[in-house]
Amino acid sequence: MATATLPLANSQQPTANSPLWPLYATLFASAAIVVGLIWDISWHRTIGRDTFWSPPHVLEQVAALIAGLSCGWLVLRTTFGGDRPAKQSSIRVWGFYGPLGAWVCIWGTAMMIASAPFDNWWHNAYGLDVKIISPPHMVLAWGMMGIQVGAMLLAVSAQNRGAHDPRLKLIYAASAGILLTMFATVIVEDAGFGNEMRSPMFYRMTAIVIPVALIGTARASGLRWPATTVAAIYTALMLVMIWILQLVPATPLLAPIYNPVTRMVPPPFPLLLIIPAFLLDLVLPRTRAMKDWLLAPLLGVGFVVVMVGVHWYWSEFLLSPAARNWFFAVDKWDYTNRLGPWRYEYWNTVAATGFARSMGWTLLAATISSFLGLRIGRAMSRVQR
Amino acid sequence: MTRLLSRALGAFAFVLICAAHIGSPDTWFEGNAGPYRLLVHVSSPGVVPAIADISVRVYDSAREAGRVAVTASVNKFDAAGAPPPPEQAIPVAGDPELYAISLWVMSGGSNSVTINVSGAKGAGSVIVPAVFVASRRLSLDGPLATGLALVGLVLFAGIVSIAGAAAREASLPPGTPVDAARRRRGRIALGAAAVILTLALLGGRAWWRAEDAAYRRSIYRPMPAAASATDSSATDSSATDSAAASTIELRITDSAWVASRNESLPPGRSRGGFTPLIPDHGKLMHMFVVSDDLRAFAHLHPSTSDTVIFTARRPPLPGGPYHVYGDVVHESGFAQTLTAPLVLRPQTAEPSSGSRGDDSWHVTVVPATSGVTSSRETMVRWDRPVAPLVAGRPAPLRFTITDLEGNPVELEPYMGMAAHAVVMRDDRSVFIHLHPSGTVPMAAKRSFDLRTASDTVPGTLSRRVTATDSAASSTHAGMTLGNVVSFPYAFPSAGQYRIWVQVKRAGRVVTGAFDAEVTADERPAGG
Ligand SMILES: [Cu+2]
Repeated sequence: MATATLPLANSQQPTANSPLWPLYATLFASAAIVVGLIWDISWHRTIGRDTFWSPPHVLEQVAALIAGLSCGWLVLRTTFGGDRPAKQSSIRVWGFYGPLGAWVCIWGTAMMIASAPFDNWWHNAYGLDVKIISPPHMVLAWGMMGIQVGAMLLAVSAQNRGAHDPRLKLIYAASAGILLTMFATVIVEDAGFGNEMRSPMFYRMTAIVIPVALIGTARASGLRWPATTVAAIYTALMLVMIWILQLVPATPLLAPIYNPVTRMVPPPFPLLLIIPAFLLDLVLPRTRAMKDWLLAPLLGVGFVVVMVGVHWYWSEFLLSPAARNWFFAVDKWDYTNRLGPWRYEYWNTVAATGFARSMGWTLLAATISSFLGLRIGRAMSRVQR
Repeated sequence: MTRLLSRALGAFAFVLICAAHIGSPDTWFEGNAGPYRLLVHVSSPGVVPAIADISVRVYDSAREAGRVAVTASVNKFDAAGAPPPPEQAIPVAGDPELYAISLWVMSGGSNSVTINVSGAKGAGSVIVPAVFVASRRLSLDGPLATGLALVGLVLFAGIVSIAGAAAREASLPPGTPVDAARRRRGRIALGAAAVILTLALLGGRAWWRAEDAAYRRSIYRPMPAAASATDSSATDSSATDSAAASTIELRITDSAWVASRNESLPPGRSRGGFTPLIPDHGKLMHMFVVSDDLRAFAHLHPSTSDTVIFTARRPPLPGGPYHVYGDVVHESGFAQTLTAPLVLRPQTAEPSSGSRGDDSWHVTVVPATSGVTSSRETMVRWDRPVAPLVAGRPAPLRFTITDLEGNPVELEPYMGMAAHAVVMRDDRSVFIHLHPSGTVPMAAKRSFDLRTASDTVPGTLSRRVTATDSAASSTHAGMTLGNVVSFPYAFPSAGQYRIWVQVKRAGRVVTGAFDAEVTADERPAGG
């Protein structure tokens, strides 16, 4: 940790601000985790063969170590370093002092490490997961999100303490954009492909996951266009992943191979979350006086209406020949896929009555998600330590 | 690190439920890949998808060591899917003929392992059919369970404490002391977090149980079957070719299979998820009838008109409790052993050993020892070393066939094979039918050898396999056989086993019965 003292020396300011490098370190870890996850999913869709030491796994493990070590260092330094301002802007857990974000990061790292032997046993007991979502993977996912939420909490407390520094606002927005990317990636199986954008599941999954992430982070941001910025970061991250992964040569190593791909299979084109995010940025500043329980149904219903309005028609383009190119990459499928007309058809569509019925639950879910987002956003804007 | 971990996990108790061939899921194959003679062992991981460890012994290649290249790939029995690129097997240290490789098996059911060998003698390859099914359940206990529970406890306490501390202090401006109201707020948050997390954990436990239950349902079981016996109306059961002879019947009771037997079924449609049966050595079913005390044994070839009811003539076996084992091979190369209990009533005819065509039976009155056979002219001797038989290690199943004076005798092919053997554990948890080529049914091998990319309709391949099977059986007539037969195999577990070895001499099937005590592998795990 000799190198760690260098940036610290530069930031010995007389304010109560902590050094900036743990913010950058955890932000990097947070980004590396979501990049590793997207890479890993692409790996499974392209190459298939999985080992503990596959490059995306290594990236995720390194990210966990960076987050855990830098936050561990932060806790030890705050507890024993004799830095009074640092100690005064931290919370006490089991006799140790550190910022809330550092604690959450450390917990996330521990969860990620603990998931490894559990996952290994799971594979031995039940076979390699056919589904992404299994109990050990949930432990891993909670660990990953712990690190990402921790990075965001570190950033938001720094932003809330030192509102004069524009870098802190951007770091916070970036950490929020990464977390949104994580959320969108976790639900990508049900709500990612253009083919799903007329199925009730697409709108239900996005209604559950997106409002809480978008509103929860936007409300605490000091930026003028917080939700739009967060959604733009998500969009940019996904586009970069899509365009870069397609450049990497790779071939399947497991049988049976129905689709002999030669390049990494990219994730689906990002959702157009930037549109509801932009509208959210218009609405939130004008509704400051409203009670959360009134605002939540407004935001929730508005979110679903905008999502349906946008993606119902956007998907028509995604399924059209015009989108079958490197930019939109809708024509890239897994090595296990038997190619057929299903690639450019809608999946899991239901009759209008069924869709309407499911919309009831979707609106309720979006309202609850929005309410949680509002509450979390308020709490986040108060985090000082 | 993961290797160490899997070794540690490998030491945990496996709860064996059942497996293809009953309790003996590994594949053993001895045969030729071009100019090379190979012994291939494919260990079954017991779950799918998982990694299968494969070892390849290239006989008489020690002098060529370093110049022999062995590659392998695993593929599902599916004409439409391309195989993955073959991968290099690694020479095993200390054994110049042995090569090892671990490959992923992604889909269950009938798969094949393709082995390619190249060296100074040229290049050759061979397809080894291998069935991979979920066959066991692993329990989470021992130090791993304790360790995970402790870590889980710390993580639980950790996040609950963090939640409490966050509610207590996180929104306080730096330097502001914590007052009593804040402390209470922290305690409330801590309690609430504990309750929410406990509920989440309970939900997780329910989810785990549901996954475990679903996994248990997915564990392979052979098609259910029932066995029954009819007694002849004639008192004299030795009356040959009597239509009223006593019979033993094995009936497949799998409802999907039975429901699809009516002839309105489009030709070649698969039945209840299983593809049609194909003949192995010319027989759709090899039926073994074994008394529960292992003294009486019969290898029969029942006839069937609908591939649901299989009927064989009852040999003169003593009365008592039996189990019937029906070995069948599907067009996909999937081999399974159907099993059912059976009670035979005593007959007036004296129990005896003998054979009728390809059917044969053997009754021992004393515990089997080396040399006991069903014939008064022929001896089957087990050339077994003094070293004990160890589970999981290649078993020295080598037998010499002589006349009573010890002179070598001329063997004839018995259903196209130099010999057949059945290995059975005394508790019936292991039952397997072996040939000198190993555990792979020849029909399954032929299915893989003959399949082409156009075989997408079930039934087309089976017709071709059937045609070549009868052709192959007749060409075997001219083959020269020595008087020594051996079976590549390893006993899957420690215990008491009985082995029946069957050869044909002078038009008659000779059966030798042997007892074997197999001890557990005492080597340290992974050693
Ligand atoms: Cu046989």
